[in-house]
Amino acid sequence: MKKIILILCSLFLLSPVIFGQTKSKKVDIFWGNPQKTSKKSILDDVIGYDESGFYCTRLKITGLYGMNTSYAIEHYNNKMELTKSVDLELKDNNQERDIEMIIHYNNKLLLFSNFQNKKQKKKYLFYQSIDKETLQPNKDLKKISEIDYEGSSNRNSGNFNYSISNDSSKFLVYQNLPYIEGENEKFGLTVFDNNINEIWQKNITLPYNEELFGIEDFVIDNDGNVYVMGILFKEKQKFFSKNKRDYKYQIIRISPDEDDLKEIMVDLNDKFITDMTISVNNKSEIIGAGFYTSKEKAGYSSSSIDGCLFVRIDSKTGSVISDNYKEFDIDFITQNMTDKQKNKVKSKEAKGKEIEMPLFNLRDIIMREDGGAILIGEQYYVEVITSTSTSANGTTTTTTTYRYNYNDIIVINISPEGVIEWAKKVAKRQVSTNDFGASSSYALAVVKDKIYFIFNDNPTNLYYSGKGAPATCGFKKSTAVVLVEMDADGDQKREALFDAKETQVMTKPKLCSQISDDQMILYGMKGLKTYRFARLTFK
Amino acid sequence: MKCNVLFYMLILTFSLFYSVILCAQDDNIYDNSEYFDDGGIAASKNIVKLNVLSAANGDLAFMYERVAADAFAIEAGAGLLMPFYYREFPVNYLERTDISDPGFGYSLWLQPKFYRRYNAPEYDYTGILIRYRHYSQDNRIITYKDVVLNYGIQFLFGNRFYFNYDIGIGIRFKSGDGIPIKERGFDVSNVIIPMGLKLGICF
Repeated sequence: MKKIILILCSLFLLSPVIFGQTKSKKVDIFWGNPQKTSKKSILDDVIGYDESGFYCTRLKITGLYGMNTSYAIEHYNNKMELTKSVDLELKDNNQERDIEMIIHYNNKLLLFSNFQNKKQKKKYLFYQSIDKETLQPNKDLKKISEIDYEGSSNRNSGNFNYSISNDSSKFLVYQNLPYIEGENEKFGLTVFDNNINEIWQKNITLPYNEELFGIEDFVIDNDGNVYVMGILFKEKQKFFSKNKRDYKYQIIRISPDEDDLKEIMVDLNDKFITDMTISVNNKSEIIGAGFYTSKEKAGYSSSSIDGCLFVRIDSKTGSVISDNYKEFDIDFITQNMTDKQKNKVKSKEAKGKEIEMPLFNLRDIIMREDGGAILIGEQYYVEVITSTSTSANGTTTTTTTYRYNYNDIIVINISPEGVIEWAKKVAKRQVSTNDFGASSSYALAVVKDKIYFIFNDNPTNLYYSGKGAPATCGFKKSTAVVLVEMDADGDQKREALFDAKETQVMTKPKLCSQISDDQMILYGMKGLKTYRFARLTFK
Repeated sequence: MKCNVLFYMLILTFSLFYSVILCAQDDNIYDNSEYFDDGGIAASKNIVKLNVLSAANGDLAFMYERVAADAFAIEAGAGLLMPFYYREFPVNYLERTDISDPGFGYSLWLQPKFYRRYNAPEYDYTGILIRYRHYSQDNRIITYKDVVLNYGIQFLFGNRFYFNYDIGIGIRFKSGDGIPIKERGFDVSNVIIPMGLKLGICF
């Protein structure tokens, strides 16, 4: 009896502590009313905002067993209410186009679509504006790019990709040309101004065979120069795999005024780059940031990292200004681990064995105003569990379960000089099954000199002291949406934003989006039919 | 006269005014017809096909495939069973066969097809084939009913023609006026691995 009274008292005392924190001093939250939608539709993206509210795209699954898909564009007012939803029908000259993307660019809604002409063996890219009042595509459909795939099959017809410069003045269309075995790597680039008028176009043939060079990333700077990053393998590859560790990262600079390509090899001597991303900072320098592992493990298929790297490249000359790397120490590697895991790693180190950190996926690179950068990664992996059971009547059933693990966030701060100042971890453990991790991961907002992470968490982690592993969020019982504020020194403060039960929806961090300097749109769902938006204003 | 001049002036002013508006609108409307002119390939939802492999087996079958959704098409067909029968794999490795000296007969085919990575009717698909054959032999009727899980690839060549091949695994249900077939029950000849090779034209 005494025990029961004690437990009841504890619960009574603890509950106001948790819910007392739901009123954050860091953000104002404005919740829209719960709204209904068809269970055969999912929110695709929050694409932009203006003074009237914000715009979203929604994917609709129609037909028997979802065999048809279509897109709708939606407008929500500042009260987070749906004001208009229009199904996009991309039909012209009796021909249907496939949607590429819808963006809010230069305060206009732009729709990009393609049509594959199988007779001409050409794939055309079109753009048209969308009327913000009616949400209907305007009649200004214009062909802006094309891929000629003569000699290739309809399946190997290439595709289009996009990038926008930091100041939004340039828009790049990257044409991934069809793969032709034995030939050199080829691609096309078309650069437009912010009214989608063509500035320059080039077809590039690299001096590397298609089977030796795999393109990973590309960016455009404010002057319209394009940087393409790829991996150059020593031996020909059928499917590009980094497991063999016989490759080097390379950045190629393509300028409208120069005929020659500038090739920049990123080589860290005794280190292998496992993952890298490129960006352009406000000094027009090319920033390459990522993770590396030791070269000694060459030929060994490992999914772990030793440290992080940062490369600054002069965009005008293509020369490397600085390259830095930072090895993760044992304390950092073992941070947020259980005591058992920690002891295992430490005994490995004591025996002189190689210790590494689990592989992190590069998620974001944020350019600091002073020319520095912040690199953000997340530990993510999928476990496939197959179990077999036999029923009483002898029937054997095999079940495969996919367990999605989204663990710690890693934040690496790099100074304007290219020195890696600090690396920190944001502790979290999110585990879900057979749902592609729909409620996992995090939403990111950068406000002034602070970074905010918002994610679903186990409420007990609000009191996580940093010792041992954080409690796992399984999205089943109570789930709290937490806000982690990280300042310029990497110090973090964790607080509850709200309780999932209180708002009646489960927040979907991957679909949340920062829409302005200090505002973010949160999206939550209850079941498949009810959804709710919230606007977060950072103070 | 003065009135006429005024009238013409007015008409001219209006014409000029509207032509400016129309020209201004034309600036943003582009003629894209040449990009969409593919001879009707993208809009064609029907394919008529001849199954070449089944014809070699003695089943001269014509198929009609209709695209019903982005990822779904249905294929139906009918065939004339010729007075010869070349045994199918893997039955051709067995000594015994039910059909040895057939007369004319008919076949019916039905296959819903689920296209996996690209929109129907191109590239790889999974289908469930139901095939019925009605043989007559020595004044007896022998029927084969096949239920097959198929995997196939179909692609366009030229501007109108389709090439389609598939392979599957399934079960054959046999029945007939002759007692021997029923008596045998289920044996290895009931497991089938049929293959198909079809040539077609779209419209």
